[in-house]
Amino acid sequence: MPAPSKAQLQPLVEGFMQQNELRGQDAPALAGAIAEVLAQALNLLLAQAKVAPGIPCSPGASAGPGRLL
Amino acid sequence: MPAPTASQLEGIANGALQSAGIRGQDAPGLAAALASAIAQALSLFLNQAMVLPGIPATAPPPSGSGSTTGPGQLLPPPAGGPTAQQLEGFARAALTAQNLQGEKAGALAQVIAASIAQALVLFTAQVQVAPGITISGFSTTSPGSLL
Repeated sequence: MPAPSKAQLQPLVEGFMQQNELRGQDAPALAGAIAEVLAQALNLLLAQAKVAPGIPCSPGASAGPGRLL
Repeated sequence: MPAPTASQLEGIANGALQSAGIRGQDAPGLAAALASAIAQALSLFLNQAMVLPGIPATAPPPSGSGSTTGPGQLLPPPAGGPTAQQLEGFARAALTAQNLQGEKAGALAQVIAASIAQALVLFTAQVQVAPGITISGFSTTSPGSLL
């Protein structure tokens, strides 16, 4: 599955806005914009981040944690 | 390449706010603040993120050479990424730096922090490490990609 989409994120952002009593007329539009930026940022992260080499392995599976870079 | 930078994200944020019809005098500052808070959060995430052990692999002895053969998983927050509480300071500072200090600024900072934190929870749940990482001498020797 890819990085979280705007459609996944927007209802979550709207919920956080309601919890924090941000209910102006621009609130839904702002929630959509925040969700859009987050979705695109996470897509960039998906494309740019790499798993660092050096993960220890046994013959059948990785045997230790890895890091991102 | 590291996490997306604030300058990479600022254009995206400006476009998203304009598309959403948010065009007030504070819109450019809000775009810059969003970009800054998200960039700092993603940089922190990269430092905390952990690939879990147990990626399927074929690396038979004696050489221990081969490759990973299945996807890997990311450790979820709070151990594998920042929490909303950790991110709220970034969000507050980013808004303040743009002179966005109205009575709702604190609430907006909380919304931004909570949204980024929840997005990272979803990211660690949905994104996987791609198979095909080279193994030599019982250790991965090439960088892996996310998918």
